[in-house]
Amino acid sequence: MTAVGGAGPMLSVANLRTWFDTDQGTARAVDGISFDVRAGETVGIVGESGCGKTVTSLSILGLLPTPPARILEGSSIRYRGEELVGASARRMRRLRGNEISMIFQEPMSSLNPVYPIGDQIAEVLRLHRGLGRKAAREEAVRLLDEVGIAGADRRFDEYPHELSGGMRQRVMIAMALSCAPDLLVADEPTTALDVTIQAQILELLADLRRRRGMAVLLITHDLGVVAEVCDRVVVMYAGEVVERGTVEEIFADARHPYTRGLLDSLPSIDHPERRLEPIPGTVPSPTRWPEGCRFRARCHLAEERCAEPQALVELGREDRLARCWRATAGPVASAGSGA
Amino acid sequence: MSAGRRGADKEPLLRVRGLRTYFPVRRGTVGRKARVLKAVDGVDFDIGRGETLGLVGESGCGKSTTGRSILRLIEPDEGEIFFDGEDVRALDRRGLRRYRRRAQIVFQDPFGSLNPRVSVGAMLQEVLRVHGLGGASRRDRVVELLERVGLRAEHVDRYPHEFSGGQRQRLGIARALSVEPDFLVLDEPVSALDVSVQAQVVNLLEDLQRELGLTYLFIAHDLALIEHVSDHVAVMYLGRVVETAPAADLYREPLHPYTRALLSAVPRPDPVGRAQRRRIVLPGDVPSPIDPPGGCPFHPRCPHPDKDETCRSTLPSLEDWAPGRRAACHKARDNGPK
Amino acid sequence: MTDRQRGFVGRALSVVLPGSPQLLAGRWGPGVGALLAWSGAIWVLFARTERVRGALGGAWDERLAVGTVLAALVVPWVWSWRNAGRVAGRGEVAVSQWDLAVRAFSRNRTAVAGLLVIVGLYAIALVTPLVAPFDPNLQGDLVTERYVGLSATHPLGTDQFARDVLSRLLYGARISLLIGFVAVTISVTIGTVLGAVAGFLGGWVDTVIMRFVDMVISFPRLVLLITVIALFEPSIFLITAVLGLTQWPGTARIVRGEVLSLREREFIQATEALGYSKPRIIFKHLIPNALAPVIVAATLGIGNTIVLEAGLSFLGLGVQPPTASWGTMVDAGRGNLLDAWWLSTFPGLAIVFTVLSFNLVGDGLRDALDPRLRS
Repeated sequence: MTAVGGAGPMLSVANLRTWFDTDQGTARAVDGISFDVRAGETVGIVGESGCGKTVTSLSILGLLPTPPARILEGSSIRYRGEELVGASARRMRRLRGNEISMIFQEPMSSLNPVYPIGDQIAEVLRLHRGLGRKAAREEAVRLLDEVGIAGADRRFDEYPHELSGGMRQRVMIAMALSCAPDLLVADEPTTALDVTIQAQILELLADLRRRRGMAVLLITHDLGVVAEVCDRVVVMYAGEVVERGTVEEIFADARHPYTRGLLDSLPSIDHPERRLEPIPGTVPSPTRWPEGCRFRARCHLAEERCAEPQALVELGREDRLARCWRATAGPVASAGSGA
Repeated sequence: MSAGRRGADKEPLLRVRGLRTYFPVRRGTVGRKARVLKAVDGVDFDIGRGETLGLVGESGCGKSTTGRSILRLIEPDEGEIFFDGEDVRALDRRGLRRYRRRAQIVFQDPFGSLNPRVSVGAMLQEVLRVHGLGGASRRDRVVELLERVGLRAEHVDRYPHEFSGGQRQRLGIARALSVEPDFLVLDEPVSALDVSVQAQVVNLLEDLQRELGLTYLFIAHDLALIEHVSDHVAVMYLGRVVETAPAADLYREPLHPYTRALLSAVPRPDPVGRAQRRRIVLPGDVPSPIDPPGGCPFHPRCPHPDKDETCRSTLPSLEDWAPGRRAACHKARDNGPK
Repeated sequence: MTDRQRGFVGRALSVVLPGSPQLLAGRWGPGVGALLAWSGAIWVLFARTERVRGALGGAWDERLAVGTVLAALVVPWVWSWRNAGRVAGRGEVAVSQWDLAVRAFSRNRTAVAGLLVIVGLYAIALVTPLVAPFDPNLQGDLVTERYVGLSATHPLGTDQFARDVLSRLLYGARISLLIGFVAVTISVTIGTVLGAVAGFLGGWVDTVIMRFVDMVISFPRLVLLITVIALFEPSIFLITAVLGLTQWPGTARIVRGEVLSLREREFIQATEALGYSKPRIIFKHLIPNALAPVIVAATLGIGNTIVLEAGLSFLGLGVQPPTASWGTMVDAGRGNLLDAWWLSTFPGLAIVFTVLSFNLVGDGLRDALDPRLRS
């Protein structure tokens, strides 16, 4: 459905189902999701905890332990046309080192506390780019400098615990950049950071994207962050995609009640007096998704028809879909607007 | 979230002046040099009855320590705390017990703030028993408390791990309410929750304030949330209040350059306007509160164009710049109405 | 079958054979336990009727033995009856942390086996006066009955004084298990209280207690034991006291560490904010949450103490002859390992199995009580 410049999307996820076998039964963490990431664009995956967004990113990177996880028959993750589901561990390692990189929420646990940060970056460079000891050090210093670490040469020999949270996240980004990736998967990269530091990191990511033309898949729960940096948005709920569209469409013209509910739950800095409209209840457990529309029990518009499973409805524009039979009727009204 | 009786000349419920809380930092056993971490280093504010003061700042700025010092969960080193005219720092053991029936706290972590081995009913009953509350119908009172925070009577025998994050936060609120307090310190009460659940708990807190006439000190790092819930806002940086103002004024025209940068850094759910918006990106990190910069503690990161020698050498005090508005900045005059 | 019918059948079965409904429901640990306890009690009552009757008016340990037998008869029956209803009708409302730990523990088969062995050992130790074939110190005919090998009258043979090894082994179990249990109870109590107080109050209290801990730890335990025993008449009481009073620093350190981290937890701060008294916070809120590693350490500690006691007795510093203990028995057979192998072998095996069981249970508890291993 999307073919830009005839080359097709860079990353194409189709009908991905990642399930976990647990004591409580099968957790259908990711349950048939599809989306594309085109070269150079930033796609955001938003949703609350337990909606399956992190499992999605780990599935793409081939980082889930199997078992307990299993990617089901019929799932497809294509990177530049190459199928990654079922690819060898060796191939995935090579890909992760050279073309797809990732950064995580907690940079402290992603860095090895017993080695200086510079050595950790240099190690990646020597492994994946075959640089010599000296060249690797030079390149590592250059990368640290590129991600805005002042006095990179000095900082090279510092240990992770000597750095602040924001600095550590910069180091992680430098490490992710070390192989000049075409796609960066960022899982809640700023969630653990303060607003002013978050602003620095978002600025850095935007800047790097401009300069390197790298695509970013940003996983976050923060709609504000999505609005600031994303081109297109995938909204997930209960292991499914409930809405897809450009960032403007999602914020101005939400067609799924869950998207609307998320937006109405946010206190707005520009309209502080508005009473918040929370979504009642909580995200159900992935071992017991509700039948029919999975959002039905929390939806202020639910009626009988919602008891049937809902398909993604196409809304006439390219890559614009919502999983609700009402979606073609226009934007969703807020819960508080007296329906 | 005002209870509607904002008498400006009335005696405030809580008055804090020059509050200082230091922590000793031990650095090795050999070079035993006594260093201190100045977590709270001179904090002033008032909270009027039935009002909410929002205390906002980045991690490590001392906002949590301030909240705990006010309740004397951490003993402050200096300063005055007057609660309803009473000197909190001078209270003896019995006085402190009385104070704790009037001033309570709700914590951030919905997983760590409840004793995992005690059922919900036992937890609330214990509070009532210790304070001799509830009388013969303690069980009824427990059920009433649960219903008040949006839980049900059948939850009485459950254990904390059987509840979701949002429900646990409701339990934390029920526990704080069980002693029928007038004042609550809300220490990041929703920041560990999902967005939709956050809104549920915020609305609950607003309803409780209106119905019970509560006064809140609402501590959070989320500026949009603070604006939403507060009557007045105090912004903290490195253990000090750098600006305090009525919420609407502070967000409309911040006086302190730090407040400005903070506000501009908040991501807004408005993708259309993002191209026009100018973000002030502060350089560097918050300095360590163990040895904060001399002069104005914000000067190394301050983007103000007129930053000068005074900023580097003299500590600015929190001064009145307009009715109800105070800021600790030498250049605040120039920051005024743009 | 409905749940109700199933419950009815279960109860009927439990009347005939306690433990059977649990076994049928697949809960083999409690089932086997109940069945063994109950059948053991029946056996004692029928096979040792005379002795039971005599014991009723006898010494305190004999009366305790009768009480144990009666308890072993009644408790499994009542428990099995009451539990049979629940086996059928599932659906618990509230599940506490302890319930979760019990569930996790009962999934660990080796640990459950270890627990059954330990419970069995303690049960046998309690009823020894009723079941032991002979008086442990009764000497047979020194000419014909010395060093008799395994036989029908003496299943484990006799020793150099023609005493029955099985009887001595059973009575020895009482000494070893008693010393282990009492010494560990003493050390855990002292260690938990001191550790919790030190961790919670901090400041100079903490400093004083922890320096005292360092002092006790740095004192060589064996030297202390030998000195005390050299100064006073060695007795079971003395050995237990010395073992108990020297072992608590480990527990104190564990508890202090736990309490230090718990004190930062918000639910403890909440109890302070609620104006609870310090003893209430320490005993009702801190200690129960710090107990998991203590229970593990205590279980492993009993095993260690048994080995230590055996070692002391082996060196002649522990339990004194003619009182039987596993250590003295191993020591006594030392010289005749080749011609009377049974003298040292059986008490040696008893020590190994007992300590192994305690270690299995300890490891099982560690896993079951660690919340990180549960989701």
